[in-house]
Amino acid sequence: MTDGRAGAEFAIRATGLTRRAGGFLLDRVDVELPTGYVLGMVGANGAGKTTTIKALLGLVTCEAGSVGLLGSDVAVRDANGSDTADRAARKERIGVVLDQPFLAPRWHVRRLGRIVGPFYSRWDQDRFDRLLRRFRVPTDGRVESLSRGQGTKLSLALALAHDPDLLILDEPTSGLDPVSRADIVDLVREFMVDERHSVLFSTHITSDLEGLADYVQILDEGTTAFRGGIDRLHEEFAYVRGVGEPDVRSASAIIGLRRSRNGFEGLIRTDDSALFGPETEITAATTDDVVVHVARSHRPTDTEEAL
Amino acid sequence: MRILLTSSSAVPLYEQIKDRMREAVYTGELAAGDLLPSLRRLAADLRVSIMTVTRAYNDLAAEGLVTNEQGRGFIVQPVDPGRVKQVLDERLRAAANEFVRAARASRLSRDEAAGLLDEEWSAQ
Repeated sequence: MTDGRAGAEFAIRATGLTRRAGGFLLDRVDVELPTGYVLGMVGANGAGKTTTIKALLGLVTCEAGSVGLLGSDVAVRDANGSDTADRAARKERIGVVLDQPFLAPRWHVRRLGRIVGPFYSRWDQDRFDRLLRRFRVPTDGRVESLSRGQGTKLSLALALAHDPDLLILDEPTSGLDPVSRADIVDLVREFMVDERHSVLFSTHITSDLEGLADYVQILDEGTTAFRGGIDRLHEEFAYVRGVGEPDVRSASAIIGLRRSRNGFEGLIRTDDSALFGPETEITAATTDDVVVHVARSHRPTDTEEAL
Repeated sequence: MRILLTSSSAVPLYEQIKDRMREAVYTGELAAGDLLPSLRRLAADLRVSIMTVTRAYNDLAAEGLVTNEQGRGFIVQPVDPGRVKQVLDERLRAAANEFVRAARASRLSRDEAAGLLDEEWSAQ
């Protein structure tokens, strides 16, 4: 594979990522992101989003699986070895914002660019300064004096100033006010105007993905509960509500069945719509509906306890 | 080119984009040989996913309204004048239908409605 800027069909292609650590098992997770698109990774806290992202970046070791970034396949075992020149070059083309700020808290914001910049051949100091102004990140203090939102924006400015082709953002909107969230989502949209660019964006706020993500991956307890185009998610699932008790056959078709005093509701596959009579109401499922109910169906005990 | 999308509408976003592009072509706002707005720029401006615009543009290409030329973009194709007239006539009839309905709802007489039409006609 050459290091040319165009051409790679996949920005991310990872298969079978498996990692056991403490009580947590990341179980054969595949991640695929075609070049030029946005993949939203959603799931509850603890679903495995951060572990998956760290595995993609080689920041944690995996027992099994392989990772290909920007058109180059690297087996996980090799990825933990020393940096080859090719791998270093590829890293330059990836911009990363992790959930926990990695920046030295005592550093001065103003000097950060001068410190970090020399590590990247395509570093653009003007762009970095412009982004900080646009985001109104104060530059006259130390990193530790920034709010959470300002810290995330600083990380994003650093990630973008070296002109990456792939942005990997772990929970960039978590804990931010709605205006800051919108700022970050808008910046991702701007980034995506270039067809060579791709973004992996993890969040537990599914509304951040509406009108942004082309693909969605739902993680639940270390496994993939859904992976595919966001339009497919909306076509494949619907939401059903009914009064009384569902009959046995339709009840088994409901994913994450929820009973209330008056009736029942839950997610269904659109193909199963015919199992439900006119006494039920079937509406479009939101991304949130799918995330919540698919996760719930993974844990059958929850439904039982809810009774 | 102005495009307004309503997320509350029952019409999917990609259908709204298609409708707007078709209208632009049939009213002559976009002529044969013109480029549709850049797919990625449009997605960013309208705050919709790239896939949504891609789907709309690909559908328009399948209809023959535009062609996708590698490296250039989506180019508007010549439209059959008979087809243009038919689409514009349909649009006019739908608008007339809506106008009459609104006039009746406001309990206007036929003359009052015609007077309103005259007013608008001279105003535009």
